[in-house]
Amino acid sequence: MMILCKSLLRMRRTPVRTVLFFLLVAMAAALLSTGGGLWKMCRDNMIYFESLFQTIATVEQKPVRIVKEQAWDWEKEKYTTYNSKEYGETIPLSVLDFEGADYISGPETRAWYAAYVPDYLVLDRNAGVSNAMVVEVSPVEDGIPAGPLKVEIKNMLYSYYPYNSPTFYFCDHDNPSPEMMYADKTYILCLWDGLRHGWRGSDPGPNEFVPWREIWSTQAAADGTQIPHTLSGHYMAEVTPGFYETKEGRQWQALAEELEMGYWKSVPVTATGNTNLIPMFYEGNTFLEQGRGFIPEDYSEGRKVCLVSRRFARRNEMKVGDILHLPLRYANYAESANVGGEGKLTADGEVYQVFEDGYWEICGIYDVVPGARTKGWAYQLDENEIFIPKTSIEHDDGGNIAAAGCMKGYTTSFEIPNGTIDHWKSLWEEQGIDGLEITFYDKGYSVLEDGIKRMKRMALILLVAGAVSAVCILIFFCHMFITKQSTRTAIERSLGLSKGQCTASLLSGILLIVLCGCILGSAAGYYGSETAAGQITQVERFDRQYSAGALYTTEDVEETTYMLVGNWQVGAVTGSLVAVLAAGIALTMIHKSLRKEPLALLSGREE
Amino acid sequence: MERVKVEAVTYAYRTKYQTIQALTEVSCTFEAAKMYAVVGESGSGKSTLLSLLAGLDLPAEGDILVEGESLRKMNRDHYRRDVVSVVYQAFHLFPLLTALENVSYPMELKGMGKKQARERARQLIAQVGLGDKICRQFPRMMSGGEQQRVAIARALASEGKILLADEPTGNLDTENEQNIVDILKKAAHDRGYTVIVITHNPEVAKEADCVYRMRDGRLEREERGA
Ligand SMILES: Nc1ncnc2c1ncn2[C@@H]1O[C@H](COP(=O)(O)OP(=O)(O)OP(=O)(O)O)[C@@H](O)[C@H]1O
Ligand SMILES: [Mg+2]
Repeated sequence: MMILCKSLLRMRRTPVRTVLFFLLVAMAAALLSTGGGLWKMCRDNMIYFESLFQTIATVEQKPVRIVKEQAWDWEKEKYTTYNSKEYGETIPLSVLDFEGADYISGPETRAWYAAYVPDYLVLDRNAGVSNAMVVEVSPVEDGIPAGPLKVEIKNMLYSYYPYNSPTFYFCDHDNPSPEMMYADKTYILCLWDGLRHGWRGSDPGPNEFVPWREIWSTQAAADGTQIPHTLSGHYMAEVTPGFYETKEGRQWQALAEELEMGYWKSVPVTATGNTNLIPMFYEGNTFLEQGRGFIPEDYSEGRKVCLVSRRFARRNEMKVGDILHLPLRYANYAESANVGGEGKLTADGEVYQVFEDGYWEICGIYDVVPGARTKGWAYQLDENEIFIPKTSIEHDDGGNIAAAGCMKGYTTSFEIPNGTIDHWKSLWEEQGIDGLEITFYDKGYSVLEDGIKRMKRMALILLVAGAVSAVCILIFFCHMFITKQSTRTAIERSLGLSKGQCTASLLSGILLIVLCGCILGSAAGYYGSETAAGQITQVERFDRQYSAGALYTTEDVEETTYMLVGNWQVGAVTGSLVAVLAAGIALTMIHKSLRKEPLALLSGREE
Repeated sequence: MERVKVEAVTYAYRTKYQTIQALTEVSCTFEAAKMYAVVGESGSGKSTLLSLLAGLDLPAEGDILVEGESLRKMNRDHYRRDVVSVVYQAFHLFPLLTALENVSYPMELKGMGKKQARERARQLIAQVGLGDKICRQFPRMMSGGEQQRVAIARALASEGKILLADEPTGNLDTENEQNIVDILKKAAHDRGYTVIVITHNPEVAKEADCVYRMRDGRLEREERGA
């Protein structure tokens, strides 16, 4: 105690030196704690942003050329030309699997599955429906359907068309050379009210029906290649006695059946390995209305959970936790789920049979942000679209692929770690594969990352400067307080102070000043880094803007905002480090100065 | 009664460049309740002997026995604190402590209360002939003679049975010199201290009970009256 008092007394009697020491130590501690705080903040922010941001890319095969195609139009009585994209050989998804490519999820080409759900309400009862039908007709009079030709309904195989007339007009609108139809014959047709000739604005006129689907199959094998088929390709056939005994007759029946099952009684079920890969989800155009999104375990364990649209859930009075029965009939890898895809027949001209008869629990109900903009209609979701983890499908869909085609931006995507776009691109270029258009999305992560990296560098400079100055200051002042005072130490020794007591005497004063300095400096540094954090909040607002509608972050955002304030722990750590460093340097010097016997110093010769 | 016995002590200063043989086979004894004077030319090794007696280092060869016990085996911290007190040629006061604090330091170190120590220090300072106003002064504001007397007061304060003084009167006028000599003599004769005084001053040496002469690191006893 007495030793401590004397030590402090001495400090008090050299106020300039003591105060200078104190201030310099405080400054070094402040530098360290500002730098450390800033650095920690940058790191925390990176982690935070990492959880908030994803980098995905969509993949689309480029058309090899655009070709002009012609179509006859009986209304204008001339050919109209339109552009059609011609794709070369289909590039398989496997080209994206190359050495060094580090995917978080994907790459995947998503399929949507037609689930046959006759017990659920798929469309609003009074919604405008597709006025399609499969019908047997006879012309009222012989005639060529190169313009509206009045026909009489003989037998309706499939229709939801609310007709109340036994006749309607048929026009083989796009066929430049339609054949004569005879009143004494019966024809089967697949039609819809294209309203081409008949479309005269408000003038009701006769409603014109035009050909719609033909007997056709786009069935593909498991590897995506088309399965050759021998279907007729007809959208019109003559019904003769025993027609339905024939192959073609049965195919017409299958088409009617397929349409019946498809449009009114099916929902598209999209299977994915990560909802973030779906542009509508990624861009924050959807939000979770109830329940939760998919969690990693859903994917990894193949849990039978699903996300349903708000409309579908409302229509069927479903809530989170309800079990959906979803018998999956066929997969469509080529088209967007919102196109409907009706009338798909197998290569044998039959209706697809259920290959996966499963039950999925609703884990969340999502909705689409009103007015959400997407890259195009194909990117939009079907109003009944249901999402399931890809792994939750137990049976192979390889025998039930109704359509496959080249990769499209809305079917194919992958996720890579944030900040690795350039790396991925350079590796991709080495692959030398042409013909794919890869578009990256990172929600501005790269810009943010740059800023944070710059700040991290600043933090590092502060840290280094702080560390260097701390060491210099401590060495200099320890020298002043210890080595320069070896005579005092020798006198103390001559008066009988033990080495331990001398150490305490020297150390206590230095440590006290260092501690005070560290506390002040670290506190100052804490506020310093908080001020610096002000710059980040700008960045933070920016990222909230991006994530406002994101599926998983509607609530998380509020919670995580305050991650961005400085934290006092860093100051405490850097402060303690300085103190420990001071103790280390001081002890080394004390040890050195006590090693000598006091005689030499006191024997009459001043140094 | 024999208090300190110096047995064939040899000591050398070793610097980077040379070795200076300061003491060569010095032997002597010092008894209790006596005042000794050590005289000799400058550089003959007087201060070195004193430092060894003060326990600031151990002799290279030979031994110093205090009341029969070797300094080598003793806890020299305790020896310095409790047994021996020294007035250095260069005073060696704590520059950042006042005279009063310097003098009370050894007493506080031994555990005496601060107030009591101060009281005693004041008495000692008065005893060595210094005014009260010196108490609050720092060494660098004092004259050599004042510093010297504060150093003597500090040595007296520690109440070691062995009192060593290196030129304690070097900077003093005759009156003060006599006062100090009296104090030292009293310490020896009345309180039983062993007082060893190094001096150039024959007047001071004359007052001693016994005189040793140092010559080139060797010690010899000087016969009275010679
Ligand atoms: N710290 C030291 N380092 C090296 N040599 C020293 C040291 N102190 C003393 N010496 C040398 O040791 C010898 C004895 O010195 P010492 O101080 O004992 O002499 P002294 O008799 O006390 O002289 P003085 O009367 O001048 O005080 C001298 O030659 C001196 O130069
Ligand atoms: Mg000397």
